[in-house]
Amino acid sequence: MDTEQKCEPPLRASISDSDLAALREGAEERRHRAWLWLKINKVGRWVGGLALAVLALADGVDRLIQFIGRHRG
Amino acid sequence: MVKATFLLLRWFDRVTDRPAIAAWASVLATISALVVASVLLDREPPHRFLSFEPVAGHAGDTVIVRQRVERDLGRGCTSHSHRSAIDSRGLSIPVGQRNLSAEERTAIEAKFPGQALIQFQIPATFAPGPAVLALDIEWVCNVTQRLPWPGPIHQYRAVPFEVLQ
Repeated sequence: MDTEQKCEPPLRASISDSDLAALREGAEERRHRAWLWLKINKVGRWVGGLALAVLALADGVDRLIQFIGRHRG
Repeated sequence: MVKATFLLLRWFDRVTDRPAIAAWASVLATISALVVASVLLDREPPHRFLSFEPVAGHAGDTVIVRQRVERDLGRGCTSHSHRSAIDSRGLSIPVGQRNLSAEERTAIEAKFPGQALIQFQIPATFAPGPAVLALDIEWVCNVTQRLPWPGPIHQYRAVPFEVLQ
């Protein structure tokens, strides 16, 4: 009888040590990526805030210099 | 290099995870964001052109354009203007540029309130007929306008004049 067979991996009842190691490695990599993303996010927020503060300070100094210049002249 | 980065990150964490530092940084960042936003929204030219007196001259003549203007001197703006003249054929020739500091603008307003005079030479190659003096003014009223973005405030003004036969 001519039967057509599908190529599907066979179902297994147990998990091997190599499977466990691969899973553990994948989890480790995801954890590492999440940690890196958190750090980048945090540093980005602080650097952005700092840049805003520097701009605001520069504007304040600019206005102060103009104010002093106007009152001196 | 990697070790140094990790050390730096650990130090950064130690500093930024202190509640007092994080709280003050948030307050500072919020105030700074408001200041920067207000500064970025400041895009109104500090100068309004109200009217002008018609002027005419022959090619090669020096003429004076008189304009009524309203100057806002409170913002301490500086200006850089490019002037070009365009004749009836569309020939465009630069006729000079001018930089004015906030102090100079204040002095001009004190001496000639509400008036702006521009003297320029009508290019000798200009054809008779209606022509235009085009002014492209760049205003710098705050520190962000010195940066490539958002850059200075641009103001354009076209003053018609007549080139006589």
